[in-house]
Amino acid sequence: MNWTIPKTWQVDELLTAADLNTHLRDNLNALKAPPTHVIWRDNGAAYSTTSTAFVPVDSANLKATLTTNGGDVLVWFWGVFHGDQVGRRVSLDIRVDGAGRLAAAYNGGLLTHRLSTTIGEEVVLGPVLISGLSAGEHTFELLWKTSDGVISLHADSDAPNDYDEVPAVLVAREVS
Amino acid sequence: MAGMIDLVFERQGINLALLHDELTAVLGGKLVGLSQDGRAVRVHLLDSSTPDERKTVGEIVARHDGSRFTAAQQAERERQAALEALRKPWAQWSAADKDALLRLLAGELGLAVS
Repeated sequence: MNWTIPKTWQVDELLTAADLNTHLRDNLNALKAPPTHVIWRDNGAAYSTTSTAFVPVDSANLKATLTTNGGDVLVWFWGVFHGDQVGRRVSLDIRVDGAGRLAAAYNGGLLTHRLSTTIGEEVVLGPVLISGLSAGEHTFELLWKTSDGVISLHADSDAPNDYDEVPAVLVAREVS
Repeated sequence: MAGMIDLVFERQGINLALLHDELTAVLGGKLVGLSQDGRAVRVHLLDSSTPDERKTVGEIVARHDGSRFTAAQQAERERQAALEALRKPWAQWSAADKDALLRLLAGELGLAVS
């Protein structure tokens, strides 16, 4: 349901069903169910990288797509990571509409987390509010890099161990 | 990403750390890294890499043996094996076992143990 900028009502203006449906009913419906994309990624295996520059985790499946009404978008992500050695650092960032990354001014991205085990620990990114988007379709893609060695992101509903059997979750929702 | 290209190979059974080392030996700093999703491996290269270098990447990926280990992985396996050998009642510990534990702990602290 699209959002319509509410009209300014005039004194003695006739209330029509069409106006009420457009400006009250439809807008309330739009507020109740804003554009949202929730990804529970079951990759059937962990993702891994040795990249020391930001790269997409999965350009096809860990990319949220919204058709917005021109409002701000809240994006957040959580997942369970492990490194091949204790002390590896995972950095995360978001690429909007296939170009650059949100925290381009920061080499560590939006977040850099030191992994203190080789088994797996939860890393939460955001929520981060993204402003200045025009109305239309937008994509929000998870990027990652490692400080060194191999880092992995669990995303498997059939892993041998319960602590590995978790989804990678990416959410985007228009909030204004 | 800007300044990079990706080469994608549908291959499983990759030891990512080892393949990274094998490619780094040939490409040096032109290799940004590797990613895998369990079905394919993606090689991230600087776009200054040459066609010959990209061809070499394909050859290295094709002959990669994921059952082998890097030196660091081999050292970790040996460390784990040494730890496993010490999982026994204290009364059964020999002087050599205690020395082995000291070596492991010294290694954890970053002290020279060779």
